[in-house]
Amino acid sequence: MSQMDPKAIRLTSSLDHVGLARDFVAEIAKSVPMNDRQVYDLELAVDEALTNVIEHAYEGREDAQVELSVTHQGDSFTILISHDGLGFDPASQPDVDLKEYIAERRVGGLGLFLMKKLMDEVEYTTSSDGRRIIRLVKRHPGGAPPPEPGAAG
Amino acid sequence: MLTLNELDAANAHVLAVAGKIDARTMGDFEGGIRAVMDAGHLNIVIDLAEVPFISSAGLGILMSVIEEIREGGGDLMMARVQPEVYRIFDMLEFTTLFQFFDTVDEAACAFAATA
Repeated sequence: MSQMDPKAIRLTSSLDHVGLARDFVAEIAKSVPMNDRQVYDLELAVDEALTNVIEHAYEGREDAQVELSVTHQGDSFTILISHDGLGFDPASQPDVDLKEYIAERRVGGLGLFLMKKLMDEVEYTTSSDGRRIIRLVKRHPGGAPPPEPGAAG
Repeated sequence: MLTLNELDAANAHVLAVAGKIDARTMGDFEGGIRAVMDAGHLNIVIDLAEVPFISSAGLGILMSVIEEIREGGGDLMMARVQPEVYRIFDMLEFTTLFQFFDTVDEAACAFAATA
């Protein structure tokens, strides 16, 4: 089967819950199955996205809600993170020059850069009802193909 | 939950870390490194054999202490970094900032070579 129903989890906006979100995504990714590297990429991208939501969109508030849903369709593994915090325009953040970053011993500001490196698509939008949505897509053309129609077994 | 253990090696002080290093545990990670520094040890090996995951928050801790350690005449060496964790160091070019070793002994010996 190449399509799964979306699976979802709702969390309060505490850093204590980021690990739960990582585990939630990892478990689904392993069942696809995606390989260890792809699973790690998904865990890290979710960690970075959710940490940014808690620390920046919710400015450290720990009593707000974050919803996370996962869909797998064809070769696309899609994670939607939605919240009611402050919006973020990725275009407002300049590209990171890693050589400069390292030379200047900068700290912080690598989350979005990492997410873009790890994922095939990273998109920030606002829904018609005002909810902020972060969409992360990882493709896995190397993953196990869906069974052919009529194939034995 | 992060577990930190300190060990003395011939030429260095070893901080063995176990657990996932993220925004929640980064404070423990920094506290562990600073405790070693505050005890006067600036030749430090970070043993990451039991760390299966590190986020940019964890790497930020290493960045925030490295200058202070080097200005004091010491250094931070990375030992036994798991492949997927090393890949993140490499992706962010932190591999240009630190030396990496397959064993804690090799990392500790690197201090003797530079002494």
